[in-house]
Amino acid sequence: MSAATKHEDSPSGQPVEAEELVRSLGEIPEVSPELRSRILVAASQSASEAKRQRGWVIVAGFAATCAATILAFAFFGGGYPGTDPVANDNSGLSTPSEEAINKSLIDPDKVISSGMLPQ
Amino acid sequence: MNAVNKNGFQDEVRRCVADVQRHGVVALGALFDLTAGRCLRYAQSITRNQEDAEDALQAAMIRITVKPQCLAGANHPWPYFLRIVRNEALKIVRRRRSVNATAGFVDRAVESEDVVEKDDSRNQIRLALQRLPENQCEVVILKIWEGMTFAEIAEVLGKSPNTVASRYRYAMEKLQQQLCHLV
Repeated sequence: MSAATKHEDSPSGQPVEAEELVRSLGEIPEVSPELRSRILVAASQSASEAKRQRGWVIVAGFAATCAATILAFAFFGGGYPGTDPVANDNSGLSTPSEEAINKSLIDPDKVISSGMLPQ
Repeated sequence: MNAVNKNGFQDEVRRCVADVQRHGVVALGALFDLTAGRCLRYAQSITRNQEDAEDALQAAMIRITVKPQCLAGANHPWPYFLRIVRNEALKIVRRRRSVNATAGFVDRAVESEDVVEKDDSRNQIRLALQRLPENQCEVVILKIWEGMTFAEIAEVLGKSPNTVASRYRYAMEKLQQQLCHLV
């Protein structure tokens, strides 16, 4: 056991008289009502200021996110590079040939002569 | 402060801090009423000045109001509270020292006042405490006036219990020499 620890355990050593003298001086000071109200008002103001600052941080974060999203859409045109569905078609389906496309088209003359559209 | 009172006081501090965390600044009054006098006494031992001690107490209360979760989450809220008060008091002392250094002003006001009434034994004890180095004086105050153990004081000061105990021993030896005619 160190000398210091020993002192704590055995307060009957030599310095006890000085300890008693110091203890006699240790009354808790009175806190004036003015000081009380001053400190409580300051604490209240700081608390509301901190709350307001937290609110601004949330608003600023939301605004920054919105701005970043709008910029991203403006820059990439609503999509991101490498996400073009035609250029990156990995579906395994073949692109139809021009002949097939022409065959599938409806002949406008036939449509008009059939009376489906006014001549 | 005996052990039962001390534990009761620390439990009460814990309860008040939990209230501040739950209800905010409206619950600060109870914590203030419970602790302000002790905090002021401790802060005064560091700042050696009533006004600065009050400013330190105010700064500490504001810190607790803005971030009550730090104090509420501490294992020992009362030593943690005193640590906050100590940090704020030390900030004020450092600021004051830098101002005094630039102005070439040495603060001897408290000492000179006490010299006038040197016959009074209470003033002699107070003067003896003020003559101690700050780090020894605060250990004496926390040990004798707050009734803290060396482990608790170590928590407040951020030092090892053995360092704290050594400081206390040196302080008591000096006090014993200075106050030998009173004992």
